[in-house]
Amino acid sequence: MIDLTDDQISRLERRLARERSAREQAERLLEQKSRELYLANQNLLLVKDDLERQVELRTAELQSLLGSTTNMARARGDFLATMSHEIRTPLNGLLGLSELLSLTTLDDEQSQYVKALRISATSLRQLLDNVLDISKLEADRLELESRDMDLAEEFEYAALTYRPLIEGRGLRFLFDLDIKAAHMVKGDSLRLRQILSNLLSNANKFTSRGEIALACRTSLVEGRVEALITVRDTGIGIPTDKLDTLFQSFAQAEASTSRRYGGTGLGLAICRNLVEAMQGSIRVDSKPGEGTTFELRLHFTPA
Amino acid sequence: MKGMVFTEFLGMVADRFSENMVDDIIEDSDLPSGGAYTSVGLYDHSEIVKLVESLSHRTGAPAPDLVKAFGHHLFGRLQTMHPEFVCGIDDALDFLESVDKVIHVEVMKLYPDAMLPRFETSREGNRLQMIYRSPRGMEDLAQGLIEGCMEHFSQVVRMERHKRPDGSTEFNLERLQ
Ligand code: HEM
Ligand SMILES: Nc1ncnc2c1ncn2[C@@H]1O[C@H](COP(=O)(O)OP(=O)(O)OP(=O)(O)O)[C@@H](O)[C@H]1O
Ligand SMILES: [Mg+2]
Repeated sequence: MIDLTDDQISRLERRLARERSAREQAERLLEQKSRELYLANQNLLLVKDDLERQVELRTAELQSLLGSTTNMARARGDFLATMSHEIRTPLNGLLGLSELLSLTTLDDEQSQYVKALRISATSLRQLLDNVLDISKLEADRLELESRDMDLAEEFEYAALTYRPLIEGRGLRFLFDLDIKAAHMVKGDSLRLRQILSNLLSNANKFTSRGEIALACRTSLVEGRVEALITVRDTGIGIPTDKLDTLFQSFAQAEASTSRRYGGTGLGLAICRNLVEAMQGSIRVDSKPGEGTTFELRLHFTPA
Repeated sequence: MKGMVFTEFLGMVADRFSENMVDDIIEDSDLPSGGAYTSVGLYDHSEIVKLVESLSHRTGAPAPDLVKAFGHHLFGRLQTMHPEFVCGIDDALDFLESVDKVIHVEVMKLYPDAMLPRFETSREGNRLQMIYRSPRGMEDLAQGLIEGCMEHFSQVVRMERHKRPDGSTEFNLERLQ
């Protein structure tokens, strides 16, 4: 037992009171900080909810914007389709009349004019047909037919049409048909012809010497007929940096292409869209000055 | 002022003098807080001034010397409590240069209610000038902290200290080895 003086005892008592008060203070502070932490947490939760709501809102806004953009593309397609249709009707009248006119007695000068008139009207109708097709294709409104067709016949038809045009210009035409698998398939023969004719007319247009080759090989893959089609030429070729945009509508390799070779740059866009609608693929390989090869892969169900 | 400054100060008094000295200077000082400090609390700056005055009165040691000694002690404590600021640095001048730009900036994030001084620094090789500015005018504490820092890095640094006309204090430090 240690003896303490009254003074020492009262000093210890005051020290104890001070320590106790410090402890109470620290505990109050702790309480307050925990409450602040709790409130901050609640606030964070609110902020998080708010953020989630905002994200939802923005997503909805973007979706409706996307919807209206798609609608705009559709409206544009509709407009083009209607316009081309409306122009086609009087144009057909014009063509019919010029045909009738050519049957009447005309002097040499007059029949030259009528011939020129018919050529112009025919190419205008061709252009309108293309605009109509691309607008339908881009608006996803083109419906493909699925009828029995003879693949070999389609290719022979294309060769038959283009051989005289190509050979008439002093070029060689090579045709290689290797159809081992079924001849008869289900498909849209009109659209297949359109694709082949676009590619062959391009090859003919952009080649001035050498040869143009059309080839088709088929095989049976998992019960379906796979056709590997190539259209190859030894023409002017396409600059590498233009290959990417080639399949876009109204795209031509050079600004001068339209002036020198004619055309509007719709042919390949139509081809690509048609090929995609048929779930096939198309690609191009080209060397400027050496030539160009288009290669397509199409699938058909056997008829 | 952060309670930690008070608890550290009273801790130093207890070590160097006695527990009774702690009781006595608290009772002499007539403090609004009653001297019941906790390191996480906040107290008025005038209380530390009163405590230093009372200690000076009882011991006969000049107040500035006591504050500087406290600076030495405080530096050691700060550096053990926050080793992250010291690690990777092996030079007193480099460390002192980082007090205003890095350390006190981080301290402010940790304790948003801290009242910190400003140090304007300019460095030229072995020389560092620090201009201390604070409404609390604790240049003696700053000096003690700087000295504590030099001791920590075991470097010999010559220090000159001047009062500037605008009330701030200039420390000119030159590392000698
Ligand atoms: C690990 C290093 C350091 C830490 C963590 C630190 C942190 C702090 C903290 C918490 C305070 C108290 C603030 C308040 O009372 O509200 C303070 C004050 C102070 N610090 Fe630092 N410090 C450090 C280093 C230094 C150094 C090296 C110096 C000297 C150059 C310095 C100079 C001061 C001064 C003079 C004050 C008193 C307040 C004033 O003068 O206005 N500190 N510091
Ligand atoms: N076989 C080819 N050789 C060289 N360039 C080609 C060939 N095929 C296409 N191109 C380039 O690609 C462009 C786009 O071809 P596309 O068939 O789409 O348009 P076009 O033939 O110019 O016009 P349109 O087909 O609408 O009458 C052409 O303008 C041409 O620059
Ligand atoms: Mg074309």
